[in-house]
Order: sequence, then structure tokens, then C-alpha cells
Amino acid sequence: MTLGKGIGGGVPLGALLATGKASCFAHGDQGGTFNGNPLMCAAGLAVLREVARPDFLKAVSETGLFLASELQRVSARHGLGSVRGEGLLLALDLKRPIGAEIVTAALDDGLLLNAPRPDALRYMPALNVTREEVAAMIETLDAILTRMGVARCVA
Amino acid sequence: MMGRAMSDDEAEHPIDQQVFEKAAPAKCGLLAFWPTQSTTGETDMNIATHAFDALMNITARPPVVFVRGEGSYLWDHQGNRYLDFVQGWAVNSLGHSPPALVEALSSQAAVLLTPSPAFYNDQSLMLAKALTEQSCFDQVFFTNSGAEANEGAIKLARKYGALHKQGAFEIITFDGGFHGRTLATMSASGKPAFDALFEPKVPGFRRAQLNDLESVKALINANTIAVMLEPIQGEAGVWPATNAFLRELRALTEQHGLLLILDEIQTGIGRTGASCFTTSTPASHRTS
Repeated sequence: MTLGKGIGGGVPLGALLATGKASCFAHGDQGGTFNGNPLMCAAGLAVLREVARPDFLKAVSETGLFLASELQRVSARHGLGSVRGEGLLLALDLKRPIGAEIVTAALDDGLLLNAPRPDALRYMPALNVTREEVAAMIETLDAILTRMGVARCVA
Repeated sequence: MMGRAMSDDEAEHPIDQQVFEKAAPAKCGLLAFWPTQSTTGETDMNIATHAFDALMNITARPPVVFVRGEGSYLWDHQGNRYLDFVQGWAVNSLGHSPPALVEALSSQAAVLLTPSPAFYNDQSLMLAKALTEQSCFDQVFFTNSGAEANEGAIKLARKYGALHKQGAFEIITFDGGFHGRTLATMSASGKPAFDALFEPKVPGFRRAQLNDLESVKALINANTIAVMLEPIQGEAGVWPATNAFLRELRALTEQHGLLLILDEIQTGIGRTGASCFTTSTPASHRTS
């Protein structure tokens, strides 16, 4: 299994994990100047400690469900598609190539969104994002979609 | 060009200079030192006439310069605040500059930065112990990025094939998969935009379709050593592998003596509400 991104919490850290049987590198096969340096590993430990706090993961699931349901509500209002993903890795199917336009409008409105594909928005907020922040994002997104007249374009 | 959707594959759009000048006026302290024109009048030897130009133009970035972050918010060089639902593409798991991370980095920076990768250090030993205790894995190799972790997984699979399976080296990956930007991990990815880039690719990758076990079976031969996938394809637009598919894939790889490489770079560390995505699924999925 490989890890990256979130394990460093914002600093460059990744990890390759394997069972004993698969861990078959011999001396000289693998390495790297900065690999396993204590500064990044200290960051990784801090992230693991926070994620291990009681109810942290439960809160991720609950906030994820809240975000998904709010996205579904916006989707229904504007005639968009389904919400897919799990926890706080979600995508809203836009059903038409308006992702770039939404992202541009959101930036102007002080909201950072991502459209990995022209017809989808991808959500990857902080794992400790609050319901208030989700609500603020939804309000801005709703206003943008209204301004764009997305619902009127439904075939 | 303000704020168009940024994806990992958008590298072809140059920065709109007029928009840049409007958004980043000379009064901005960060950029004021940079001449808007070469003082010698020679423009052919140095294209970096703007502060932005000194960075290789590898993606379309909006002409906003971020200078501060806190939790779910970022501030740009003009003091504008942004609510951030991107978080560096799922990187900032605890938000921007979380106190716990700031404290850990500050304390460690004052004590020891890098003794040498040829020596043990206390932080890497503690982190490796924590990761193995919280997962089904026995050993860890730390890297500086997810791509490098995947590159390591590919090398480990090839080594395993050399030792235990008569030199088998092929790895089955998936259409829509994204494993990084090193040459081998781009070769492993199933991203159409990568197909024509940096040929020749690293050989030994064959692509199946997600949630289609038959497409995997059809690619297995004597040279196959591993199957590699993201439990949820992120860059492709958040497409989850089904639990049934992951279970069947685990059984299939066990049956054929293949390694199963789970790329949890985007899904791991609590992102899906479990410590790693795969631990929330019914079967145990291991790189074994």
C-alpha cells in the first residue's frame, strides 16, 4: 500500500508499506537522500496523533454525509447529477461541461473549488472542516449556479 | 484566464499577462522588485521578465499569490480571503497550518533535520512503528511524495518477481488510474492525456477496467507480478471501486500468487472516514 498527500498534512511525505513477505529489497536497491528525514516524519506523527483522537474519524464520516446531502440538495435545485465518493472525498456530477466556469466564478467569490474533469467538481476539504464552512461553500455554489442560470439549461 | 478549473493535466495554457498586471500591481511588495521589462532591453536571453515567468509554466494558475493559510481559509497577497475546499488536492488533512503540525515541525527543526539516510533517526522509527501497528503491514519505506512511494511499490513488485516468480515484471493497472508523474508512475497511469507524452514509456504495464474482474483476468499471464489500483480513482473524477470488486480482486491475486498494490495516496489517513480506505472494506487487502 502507498500513502502520500494527507499523511504529511501539508509537507512532502509519502510511504510504501508492505507485508514482511513482500518486503524484499536488498541493500542498495532502494534509497534517497531525504527519505525518512526526521522533520517530515515528525509531521507525519503529528498528523497520525490528531487523526487518532477519539471521534475524529466519526466526525469525518458525519461531515462527509452532511456535505454529500447538501450537494445533493444543490444538485436537485439546479438539475445536476449525482454525488459520488466516500467520507470527505466526493464529486458532484455536473452532467455538462461547466466545471471550469464554476471554478472561475468561485475564485472571484472567494471560494476555491476543483474540477478534475469538465463535468465534475471534486471535494477534498480539510478533514476537520466545520458544518458552518460547508454551509458557506454551499451558499456560494448555489448563488453561482443561480447566476449562471444552470437550472434553465436543463434539457 | 482567471481561475479556470485546474486539473493535473492542464499545462498548456500560458498565464494571461494583462490579467496578471491587473491582479498584481507594482505596489504589491512581493512582486515590486521585479522589472516589467528587461533593463538592458535584451529580451531574448531571459524570458523571466515577470516574477511569474521565473517558474516553469507547467500549469494554468490563476494570477493570485497566496501568502497565508489558517484552517479552511487562505489569504492572497492583497489580503483577500478564500474558503478552501481543495486543500492542496487533499494534502492538508488538518487544514492550513494546524497548530499541532506547526508545533511538531518547529520543535523537530530545532533539534535535528537530517542525520543521513544511512543512519536511523528516532522520528522515522516512531512513525514506521505507528503505521505498522495501525495497519496490516509489517514494514515501511518513507518517501518524499506519493509518486515516489508508487515508484517504490513498482520496484518492489519487480524485485519480488525476480526473486520469487522467474522474473515476472508486468503490473496490471487501470484505465482512469493516476499514480504520479515520475516516468514509471505515468506509465502505470491510465490517464489519456499521458498516452502521447515522454515516449517511450516504461514497459510492463497493462490496463484493465475498474470494477470489471474479467478484464483483469484477461491480462494475467506468466509475466504478471502485481495488480495496482486506487480504491477510489481520484484524478479521474472520484470513481470508487466496489467492495465486491476489491474482494474478488484480492481473491484473484491470491489465487495467482500476485501482489496487490493499493494506492491510498488520496484515500488514506482518514479521508474516507476510516484510517485507510481499505480497512473499511469487508476483505483484508494487502500488499502480500
